Amino acid sequence: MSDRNPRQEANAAAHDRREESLLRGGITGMALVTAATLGLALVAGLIALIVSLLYS
Amino acid sequence: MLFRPDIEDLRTIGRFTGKVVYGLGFVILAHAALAWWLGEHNEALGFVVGAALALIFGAGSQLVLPTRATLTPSQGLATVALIWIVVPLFAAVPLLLSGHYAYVLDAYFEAMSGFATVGLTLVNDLDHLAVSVNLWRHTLHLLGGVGIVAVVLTTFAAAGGGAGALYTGEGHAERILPSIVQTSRFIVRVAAFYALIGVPALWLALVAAGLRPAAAVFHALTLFSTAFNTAGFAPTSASAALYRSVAVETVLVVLMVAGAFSFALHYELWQGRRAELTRNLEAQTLGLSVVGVFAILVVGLARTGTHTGVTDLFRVGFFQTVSAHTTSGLATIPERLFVTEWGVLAPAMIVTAMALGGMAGSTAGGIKALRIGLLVKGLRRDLRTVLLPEDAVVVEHYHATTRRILHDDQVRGAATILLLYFILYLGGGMVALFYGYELQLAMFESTAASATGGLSVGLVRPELEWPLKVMYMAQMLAGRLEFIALFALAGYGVAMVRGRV
Repeated sequence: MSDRNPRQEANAAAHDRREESLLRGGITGMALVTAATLGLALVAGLIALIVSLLYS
Repeated sequence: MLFRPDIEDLRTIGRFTGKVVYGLGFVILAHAALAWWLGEHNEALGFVVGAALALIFGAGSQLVLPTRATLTPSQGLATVALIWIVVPLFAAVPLLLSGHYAYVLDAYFEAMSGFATVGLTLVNDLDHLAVSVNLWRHTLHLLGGVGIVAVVLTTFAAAGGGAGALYTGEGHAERILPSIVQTSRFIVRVAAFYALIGVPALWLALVAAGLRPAAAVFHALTLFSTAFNTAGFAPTSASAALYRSVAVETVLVVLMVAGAFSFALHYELWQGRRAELTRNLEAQTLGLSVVGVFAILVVGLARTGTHTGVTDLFRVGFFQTVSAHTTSGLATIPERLFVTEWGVLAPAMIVTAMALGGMAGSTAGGIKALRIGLLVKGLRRDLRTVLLPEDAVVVEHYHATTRRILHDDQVRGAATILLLYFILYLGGGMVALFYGYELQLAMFESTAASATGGLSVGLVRPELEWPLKVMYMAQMLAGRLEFIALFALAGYGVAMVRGRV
């Protein structure tokens, strides 16, 4: 049985929700940055292919 | 109008500057402990001396300059400029005492380059530099990238009413959260999160590339610091070319891009608003610019025949383009090849990329994608005004977290900063020409210093003439602080002499 009073329990729960939200936010953010980078790389790869064909 | 600063102004500015130096002292002390643990006892002594000087100065400033005043906006700007001049002095002490810097000026240059996240280096024999000292160089990137002021605000939360002035003086473009301290804490949180993921990812890639696990820890930490802070120092003289690993280059490219994203954009992405990636003016501008610069760069490479084949063109061209555009300064080829093997067009694109830079409110330097985007929007609006009927009302919009109307003062502000950067790039280039260096080298190095780009064609080296070293330091400072804070400090100086500005 927890020694904490209801207010402390509520604060702890809010803290846990913030931490979980933070982790989810960080993973989402990083995934989107990685996707953007890979998207740029894909376009760059196509350009490199076209240029290499033009100059081969 | 700035009136002659009174003793209270100087006391306030001095006290806040001393507070930051005091904080730096503890960071140096932590490195002393690290050096001792690594068995680098001579270097540990150097760190202890540096820490002692910083702590004595910092503590002394609090005793000698007692004041309860908070910073006014002009005081805050001047304080930031003074912090960026004074703090590297103390950070240079361990570098100087390591024995790898020929002159005091060289150690100060290195510390300034570290804090300003530039990455131009004057170190002698980098490959045999003590691990603790090399880590210290990269810690400077961490402090300067996330922003020494932001870190202090987060830690001490004591800047009171002047927090906003310190924050904007330090070059952060906009407030992400309602409170400056909350915004600073978010910035630190993003950096910490990327470190938690990025360092292990780099470590795995480095071990797979053949490094010993223990050595890979050192390289992962230093490379992360450089890539995410879009800084420039490399752990070895070969930079990222040492590893010859697609995996390492891939992780570095993602980290460099993350570092060049504004923290406002990071906040939107952390909330899951993925549409911001395609609608945000800065993201659009940066994406188009990277692709455009890359396209011209690979044409330049293909014409010289230095890199042939799609794989070679893509891998070399893309990494260098991203590194230059994010002003990170890592390279997967010996940097001297930029001018000896790359012809004229491709190196010019590297210079262009550094000059344009990353997003405002990120760790990157350069003119910034926001300003370029606003200027393009302004041009579009002006063209529509000319082409449409006289009585047509032309309103141009742009998206930056929300839809906004383009105003004249925004375009004017962007144009002013663009002009100042061009003056900085060209001015530095002309001084190097005066000393007899070739145009290509002069412009490359001047842009690298001013835009905090960090790539170098070898002009910056220990044997460089000392006036040029001083000039590049001034360029690094102006580029990192984006001029305004320096103007405020200069204004205080003039006002002290003349009575008012």
